[in-house]
Amino acid sequence: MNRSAIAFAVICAALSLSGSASLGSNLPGAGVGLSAHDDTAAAYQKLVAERGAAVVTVKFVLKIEAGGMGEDAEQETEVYGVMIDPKGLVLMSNSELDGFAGMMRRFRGGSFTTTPKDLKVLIGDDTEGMPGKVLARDTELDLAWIQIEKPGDKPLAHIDPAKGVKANLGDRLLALEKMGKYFDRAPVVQEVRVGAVTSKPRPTYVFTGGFIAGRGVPVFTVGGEFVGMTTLLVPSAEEMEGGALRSSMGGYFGTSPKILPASELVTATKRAREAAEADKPADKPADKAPEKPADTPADKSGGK
Amino acid sequence: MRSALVLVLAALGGSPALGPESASAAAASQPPAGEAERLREDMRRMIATARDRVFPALVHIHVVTTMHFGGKETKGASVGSGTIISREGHVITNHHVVDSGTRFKVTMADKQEIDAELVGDDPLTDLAVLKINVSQLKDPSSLAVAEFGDSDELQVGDTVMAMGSPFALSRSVTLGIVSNTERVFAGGMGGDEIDEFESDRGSGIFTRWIQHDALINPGNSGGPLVNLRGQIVGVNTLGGAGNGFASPSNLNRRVAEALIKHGEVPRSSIGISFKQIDKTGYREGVLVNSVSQSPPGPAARAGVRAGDVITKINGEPVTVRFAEQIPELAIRIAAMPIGSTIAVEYVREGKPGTATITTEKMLKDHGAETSLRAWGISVEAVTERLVRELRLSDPAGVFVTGVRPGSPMGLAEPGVQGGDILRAVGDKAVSSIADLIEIYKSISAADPAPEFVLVRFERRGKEHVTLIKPKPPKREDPPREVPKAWIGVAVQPVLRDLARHLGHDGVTGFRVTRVYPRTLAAGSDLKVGDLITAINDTKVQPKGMQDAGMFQRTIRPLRIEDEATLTVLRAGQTLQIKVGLERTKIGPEEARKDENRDFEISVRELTFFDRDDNNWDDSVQGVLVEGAERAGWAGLAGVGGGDLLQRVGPYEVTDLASYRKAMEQIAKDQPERVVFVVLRGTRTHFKFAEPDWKPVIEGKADEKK
Repeated sequence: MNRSAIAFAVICAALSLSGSASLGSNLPGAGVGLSAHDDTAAAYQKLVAERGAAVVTVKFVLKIEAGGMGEDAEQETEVYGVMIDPKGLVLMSNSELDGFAGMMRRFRGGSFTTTPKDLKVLIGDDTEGMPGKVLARDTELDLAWIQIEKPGDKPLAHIDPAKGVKANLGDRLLALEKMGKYFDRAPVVQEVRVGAVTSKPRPTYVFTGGFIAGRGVPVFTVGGEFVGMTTLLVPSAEEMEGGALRSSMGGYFGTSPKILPASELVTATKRAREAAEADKPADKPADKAPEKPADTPADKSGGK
Repeated sequence: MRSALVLVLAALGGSPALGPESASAAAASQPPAGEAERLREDMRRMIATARDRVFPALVHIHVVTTMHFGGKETKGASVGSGTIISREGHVITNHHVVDSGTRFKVTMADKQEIDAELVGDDPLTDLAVLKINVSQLKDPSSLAVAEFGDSDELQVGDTVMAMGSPFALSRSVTLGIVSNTERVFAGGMGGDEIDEFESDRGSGIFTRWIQHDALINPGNSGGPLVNLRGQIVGVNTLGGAGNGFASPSNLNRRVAEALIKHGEVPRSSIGISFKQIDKTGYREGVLVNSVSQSPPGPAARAGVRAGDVITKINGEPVTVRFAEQIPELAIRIAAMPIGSTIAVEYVREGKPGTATITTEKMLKDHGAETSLRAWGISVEAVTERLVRELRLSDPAGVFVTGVRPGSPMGLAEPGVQGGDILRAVGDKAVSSIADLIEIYKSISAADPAPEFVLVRFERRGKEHVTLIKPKPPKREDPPREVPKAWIGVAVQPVLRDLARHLGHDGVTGFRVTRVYPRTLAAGSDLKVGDLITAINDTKVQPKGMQDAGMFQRTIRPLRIEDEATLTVLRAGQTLQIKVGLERTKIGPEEARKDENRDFEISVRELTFFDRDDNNWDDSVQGVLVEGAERAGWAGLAGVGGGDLLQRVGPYEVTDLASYRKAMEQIAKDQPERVVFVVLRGTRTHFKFAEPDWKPVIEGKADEKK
């Protein structure tokens, strides 16, 4: 087994471990050293009341093509998203948009492609969803932007990353996740602390004392100010080959989701908007049928 | 004849059976040199004569197959052999060569390729008949026809030849002898007991095989076994490890005649599954293992029950002690005219009984099938076997064999699943595949397309309803990455020890391994071998291989179209080199794609790195083939992944847009032949496709009852 495969297996194990471990951390006072003050309950309630509507569900069908005309597979999935402007721009984790197949391609290579389609954004208890399309994606930062196609005239509940704040080592943070549809997508508050602030390879907050299983989860101060969003930042294949994660130090921190600060999200969103604007096709005259060159000896195709 | 063969082998010095101690005796028994030569010549002439009587009628068969599962059809290809047996152009071959075939092409002895159609096939004997389109022959009157011999005359030891296309090598002949004339596979292919057989899965249960040792391999299937008179004495069907098995010509002839006349082989059935009586304690008779009950078959209606031991049929004693004897009994009943009356005597719990059974027609166990791609289901006709197995109260409907996840049928709430029986779509009842296809076409053609369609289906005896959202397939491109700054070089990290060795005094950095042509970097002063240690005063000095991405990571946040100043070490000097920043190049996973269902080919736009990998400059244009389904029209023409498609038919292809326009126009024109001009490496290839322009929905021919 090569190094990429080993690292990939480690990451998968960590992701599944984080998913199962989060069940344990939902128990009151479990392993966080939480204060029993009344303000904790109030902070949770305030967060859900004021920010809950901006945490949305992105539902889509992921088409996986195994290179050329190989066997297609399609799967329907629901992941987290954060509404970041009143006109329906949703920020989410790119690796969630790509699915497991996309992760495999990143580590193992291969010619298969993943294409999300039939995207819908579900807000609150809406079950139908508002159609959306992918505006842009940034694999390096694990970000993707979905634009709701017809957001309507009423401004949508949102979180403005430009009003985000910095966090410091040791700060308490609250993450706002959602349960699955079986539980009616109810909001769930996870409490963690900033265990590390990294600058290399890029600025992130590493959280400790709890588990935030999902990517694309918004994170706030206890006072409800936006701090950032969880993403999966992994080394490139080249860096993996170089043993980027081959160390017993840091354990699962190397492979678990991290919080990308609000300031990084602002810069990345600005770039994404500019790129989407630049890529808009200009108006073109109606297409003509292709021109036929003069017959050549090799061309003996005739009409039926 | 056999002694002549042995003598010939001895004369040729090829007699491995002779050991050194018998060499002197063998030498004494060898004929004089002149006679040995004459024997050799006789043998050669006999083989040549026999060969020449059949060879001209030997054909190579190429089949395009279509299978339906998982909500879509999948094409494949198979090859085999066959023999022309009539002036009208009938070709006998194996059922498993033509199974699931939707298109048949036959290569004649003179290399002409002729279209053929399926006349009928018989899985129980693994035989099939095709008919070639004689009007396509250059000279239809000269069509060579082989004749059947009498397989009952064959004896163990007779010399036979196997002709066909092993490994798709056309027209080969091997020589051997008959090893056994009555080989029986009691459980069909590979089983050791017959419990129940399916009437349309190849089983060989109705065949007494001719076993021989003329070498046959994959590709020989359907080819003739020929005697030294140049007559077909069998059709080769199975083989391997030095043993070949051919179905006898007397059976071949009967089956071929029935297929030509009726399109099938009508057989009688009484709805009994037999079992041998060993271990039952009985000395005579045959055990009734089961009788068809849902609905009741002829035997059940006549009062016969599982557990009865039948002792006489039409007054004749019958005993089946071993599994190998069951096929004989099955054949005997099947061969009776449909509607015959059979008087049976049986013993039930020690008491004798009688029953009169009227045979009925043996029905197919599996019916027509098709796939409805836009809805994501593959379906099969509901047959008597299904009615029995699923205990359906109503045989009307179609059986869902597979649903594609993410398709309209899969996403419905509740979703349709494999195993469901579709009863109605919209306000129309579905009683057959033909009904369903008509409904599907009508809904697909509706403008505007309905948002919802009600579907009624049965699942394990319970009736359900659901809504599907049929929608025309929409082309979806993979979303693009946010473009970032990029410099047109490839680099490798240089760590401390390597840096010292390269004379950089332990200063780490990134060494240029390639300067990509046709980039801004190519126009700068950067050279391969340069060590970059800083970008715009930001040091890029890796500590270990885990920092391999540092160089690109430092570049990416910069502004595209700005310039970066690189600090470079070269030959002991420190240089400041300005390089223009460009947009990151599109990778294969972001490239826009197109899937064409007519030709089953997938292409994508050419990327910068495709050009660099293949050394194609900007003058080289086209779209890159990601893949072509093996038995799709483009795949059959020889187009493959990695080809650069530059022309389709008369239309130049410069990019994805021109490719799409070209394919749309060709779909409208529907020419008989389409040429794909591709660049493969440095060479141009012309690939010719001959699509038949059938609609995507394909099912088997009529649902035969």
